Amino acid sequence: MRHPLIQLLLVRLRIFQREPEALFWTFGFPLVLTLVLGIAFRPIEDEPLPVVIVEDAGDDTTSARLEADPQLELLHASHDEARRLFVRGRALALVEMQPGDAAPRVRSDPTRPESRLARARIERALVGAPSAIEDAPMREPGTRYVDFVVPGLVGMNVMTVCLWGIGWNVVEARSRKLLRRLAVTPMKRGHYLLAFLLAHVVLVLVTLAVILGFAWASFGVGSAGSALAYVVVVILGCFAFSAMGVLLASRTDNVEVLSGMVNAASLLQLVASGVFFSTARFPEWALTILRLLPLTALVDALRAIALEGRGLLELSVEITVLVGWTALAGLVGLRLFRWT
Amino acid sequence: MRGLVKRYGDRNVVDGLDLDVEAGTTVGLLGPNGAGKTTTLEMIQGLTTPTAGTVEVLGLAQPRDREAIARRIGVALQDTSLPEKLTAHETLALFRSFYDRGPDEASLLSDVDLERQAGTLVRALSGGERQRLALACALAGDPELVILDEPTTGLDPEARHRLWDRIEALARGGRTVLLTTHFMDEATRLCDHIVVIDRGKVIARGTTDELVRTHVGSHVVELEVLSGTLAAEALASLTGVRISRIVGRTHRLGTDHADDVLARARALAGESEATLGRVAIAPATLEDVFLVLAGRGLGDG
Ligand SMILES: Nc1ncnc2c1ncn2[C@@H]1O[C@H](COP(=O)(O)OP(=O)(O)OP(=O)(O)O)[C@@H](O)[C@H]1O
Ligand SMILES: [Mg+2]
Repeated sequence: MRHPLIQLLLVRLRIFQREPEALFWTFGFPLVLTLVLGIAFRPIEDEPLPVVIVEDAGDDTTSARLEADPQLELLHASHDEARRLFVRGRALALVEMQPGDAAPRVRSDPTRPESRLARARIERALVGAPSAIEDAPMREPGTRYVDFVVPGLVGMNVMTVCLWGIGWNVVEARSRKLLRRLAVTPMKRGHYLLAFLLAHVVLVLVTLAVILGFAWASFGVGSAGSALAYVVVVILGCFAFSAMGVLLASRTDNVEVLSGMVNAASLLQLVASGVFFSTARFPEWALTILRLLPLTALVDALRAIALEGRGLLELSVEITVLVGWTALAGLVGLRLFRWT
Repeated sequence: MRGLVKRYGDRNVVDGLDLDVEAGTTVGLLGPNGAGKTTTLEMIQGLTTPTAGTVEVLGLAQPRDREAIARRIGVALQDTSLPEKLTAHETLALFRSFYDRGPDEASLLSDVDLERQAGTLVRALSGGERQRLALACALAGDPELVILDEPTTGLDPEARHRLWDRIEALARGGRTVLLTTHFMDEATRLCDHIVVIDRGKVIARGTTDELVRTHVGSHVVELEVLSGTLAAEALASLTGVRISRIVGRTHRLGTDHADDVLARARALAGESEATLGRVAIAPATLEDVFLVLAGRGLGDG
């Protein structure tokens, strides 16, 4: 028992045992993540592929043939709505009828395997039709995967910068007893946290410029909607995640516990908010819940602006979610906040 | 403070403490490690809520008037840690910004002899320099009451003397100072009034002179025994001896009649055939008070 290795090992184990919170975040978090990923990627026998057909098509036979294919889930939509479903990843391919006898035009994204698969299925379903299909891959800016993923990455960046930046610094200041020192000055306690918020807004805007500049220069990723609306939404996201950062950092003085919480919160939202892939995989009941996550609201709003050119007034749901998180997490975080 | 109690677990770390600090005086809180000094100061500062009892600071009630009190006190905590990546000057600019009035950064720096370190990062400062910077932070708001928890622990002798000068200047300027220390010379020099606490209770209070006179006597007779034995009980029962302690081979006798006691002690040594080494008479100090109080059960039980 006197061997240094045994004593060093005991130190590690004792620290674990005396920080049950750290233990919870270490064990509990993978369980929750497993659950969420399990729901997203639950096995569905021959899941039909969602494709959309533009409604004003005169010819019903194409529509009927596609409808008849059990492996396709056919959505009907106006031209604009169809395009929206496609760029947001809710439909994997888009079918447009052409005037006269011309072949129906199938628009897919060749960079996405699922989209290619949907295209192939459509082709098979239409075998024997009077005219074959006309391939028209989506290649123009605003319809590619990169256009879809950049708003997701921007949202992810806002989240990580704010959660880590605020969480880490606050917990470190608390564990080094700097918070105590500040608490015996007449410093307005709100000022301390407000300074964090403002600093992170600046930081996020700088990184935003870098990310968007790079995406534009190398892939021509742009925004269909107003840049001002985009920036406003990013700032609202910054508020929401800063409030969340204050909440997560409100009590602990242990950076391991904080890391566990921030990891849990951010990875969970990363998979559940549709940063890298569309949340269409989640069942409807789960989507309702996921829509309440700040990252979902942020990424959805950014995509609506960048891909569909929507304005702030059309994003009231997302904006309400972001403001709600700011208020709720902020108030609870401030109430729980420990200065000693 | 009245009837102050702070309980951690099932132990009263501060146990019914009454303490009055008169405005314009310097008061020293003394006591062994773990006596509850820091905890007491934390309750005065509003960092810890008392389990029972009331704290009144500058006519305001803690913790109700925390912010109003904070405006008028300056604090140097025992385990100070300031933002590592700021320079000394920037640190003071930060703290100065919290107060409506107070000296500017440059004069704060010169107060604690840190002008040359103005541009040095806090993490590159030596321990003593950091402590002086912490004191400067405490003075940033020109406080009426300055609370210093072991301000000179870890300082070199010269720095300690300079800090003493600085604290004395505060007192002369009409400021009230409440400090803790483990250095008896520091307490003797700086404090008008001394409060000794142990296990959360006051066990003695008064000026240095009062404490020395009540607990030890005016002088201490030191007798080193080279060979043979000198019974401590016999020494203690000599006429005129108020207290007797033995430290290693040296007996220390507190008395108001040093010459008489020394003569009687020599006689006793002759009778007991003990050879005396160094023999001296010295004015009694706070250190003796502390050792007496310690001998009476400070720390045991
Ligand atoms: N948060 C705490 N939880 C439990 N016990 C505590 C806590 N803080 C202090 N104590 C205990 O209270 C006692 C008094 O502590 P305090 O820091 O007030 O002593 P002190 O007189 O300042 O000692 P020192 O001279 O060593 O600085 C100690 O025994 C300590 O272990
Ligand atoms: Mg202490």
